[in-house]
Amino acid sequence: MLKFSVKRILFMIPSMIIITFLTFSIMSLSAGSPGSVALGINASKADIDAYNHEIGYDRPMLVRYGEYMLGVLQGDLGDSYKNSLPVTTLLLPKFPMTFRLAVLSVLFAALIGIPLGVLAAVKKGSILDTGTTVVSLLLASIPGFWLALLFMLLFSLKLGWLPTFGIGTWKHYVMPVATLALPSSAYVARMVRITMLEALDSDYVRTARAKGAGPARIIFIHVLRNALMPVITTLGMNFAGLLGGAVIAEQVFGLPGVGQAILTAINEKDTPIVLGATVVLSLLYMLIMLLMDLINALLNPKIRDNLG
Amino acid sequence: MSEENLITVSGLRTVLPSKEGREVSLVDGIDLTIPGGKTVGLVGESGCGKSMTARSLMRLLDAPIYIKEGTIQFHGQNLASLPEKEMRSIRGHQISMIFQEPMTALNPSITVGKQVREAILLHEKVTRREAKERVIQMFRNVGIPEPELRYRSYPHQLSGGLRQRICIAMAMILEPEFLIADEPTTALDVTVEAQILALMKQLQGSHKMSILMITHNLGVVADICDEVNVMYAGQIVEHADKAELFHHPLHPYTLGLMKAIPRVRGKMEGELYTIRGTVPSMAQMPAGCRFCDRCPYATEQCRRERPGLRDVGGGHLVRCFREVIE
Repeated sequence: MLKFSVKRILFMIPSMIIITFLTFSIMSLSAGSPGSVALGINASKADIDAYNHEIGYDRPMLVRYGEYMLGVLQGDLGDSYKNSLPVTTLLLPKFPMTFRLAVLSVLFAALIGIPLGVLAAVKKGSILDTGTTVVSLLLASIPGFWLALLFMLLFSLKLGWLPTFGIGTWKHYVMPVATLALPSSAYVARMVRITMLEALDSDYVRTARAKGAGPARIIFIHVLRNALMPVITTLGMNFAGLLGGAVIAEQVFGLPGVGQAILTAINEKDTPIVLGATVVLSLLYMLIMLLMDLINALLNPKIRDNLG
Repeated sequence: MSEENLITVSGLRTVLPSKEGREVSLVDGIDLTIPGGKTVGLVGESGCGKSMTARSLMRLLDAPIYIKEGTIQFHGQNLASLPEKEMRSIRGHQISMIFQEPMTALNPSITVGKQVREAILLHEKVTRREAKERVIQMFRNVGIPEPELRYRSYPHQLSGGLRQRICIAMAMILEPEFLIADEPTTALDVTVEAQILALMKQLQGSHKMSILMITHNLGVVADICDEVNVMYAGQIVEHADKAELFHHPLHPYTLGLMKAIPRVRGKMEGELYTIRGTVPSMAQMPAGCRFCDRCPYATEQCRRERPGLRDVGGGHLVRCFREVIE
């Protein structure tokens, strides 16, 4: 398993090079330059060029990319074009908020989705099963921003229970987390239902019944573990995705997180921040995926053996 | 058959209800007796209902399939109508079962030792440690090398033959009176098959249990069975002692099965014999004899009337109108 982990970490190097290079190219090729960002729209072309020359932006892209990557290796993600502050200083404080949001969302998605999926599978064909399927489809089809607005309308404006905007108390997290967790929980429920049904239909369940095992024992001892393995990967991907992609919830509810920072940086063409966020998030994504694979290997002896 | 019968099945009918109210009989009025300490074979092609019969006896039917008629007498109880909870205490304890696919019959994420131990813990009040020791002893009895080590193995780490030995250990650990073996060697190669059959014979000898051996392989029947039932399209078409059946097969279907066995000795006479046609669909049975469309001896009577099981002497039963022809 150590060998597997080391191999996977080594594989991250080419992935990181490709990801950063693509992002770097796209940001370089699009209109605007650090000079125009820093000096504002009223600056003259000469001033902008002089600024760009001073920070070395007029050199070939590959040279600048190489220089950037050397910095990354030393933990330096460059400076913001806009206010010349280090990207790390600007970006890192945004992570706790996003992290909290992602953890809570995935937690609730799992806490709601897994039991619902299990119940739907066990009571297949019942009202509960049909109800879960309908609600799941509904939640999966509703766009996040719309759900967020509906929540605001109901819980903030009509009932006045929850604040609409900003951070401070736990109440501020209720609606953003619900907006993110409900659609995921619907997805998880449907997935768990399918994997449960598949596992319930397997030969080893028949063997367990032939041994004299009752329904509860079959579900909790024999089926659940096998059925939840694919779900763990999904939850991990969901979590990794939320770290960078909770943009809508952050934007609508005014939470200063990573997604919002990236969005602002893209609008302002503050390339170093976008790049820095990409580097950190893709690294996190790959590490989370590795963690998910290791968890799966712990649960599934077959995978464990394959990893060596 | 003067010995005490362990299991007496009468008129067992297992059906699959369909939406239009029509139902399909998967097992169609079977009478079967399992004498104590004997091995009874249940032979037939795929889809003839032999596995369904086995699962009916264990009451391991998947809804909506259910036992509609008939009784399964076992120690004065009718298993066909026993409440599920009581049935559960019999399963794996007094009656156990081995399945065809050792590759998938074991849970992939639990060690084989624990899976066998579960059978003990489900039915007896013993400590886990005691149960584990019994499992290891049983592993030794069924010829599993390094039983302590194997106890901690996962199914995928073992070969098909070893896995089937694990399944046998699981089925035998509580010394059941009746073992149902549903094609236990079909998925295994021939040398392993011989070992497994030898093991089953040996265990039967030491435990005095009855076995219902379900197979499509007459070689297995010849090797292990005392009596044979030939099943066709949900019904038993012939029943006899093994020697009687092999020497005087009467039903054209049984004759066909025997002719279809490849022989090593004797001269080659062209292609291997096959029974023409396929088993009729359970939903569309012929009006007369169920085998008449494939039978080389079929007459007008066979197409019109349904033959019953008749005794031609010495407990040899056959479901055919034809007079005995050698």
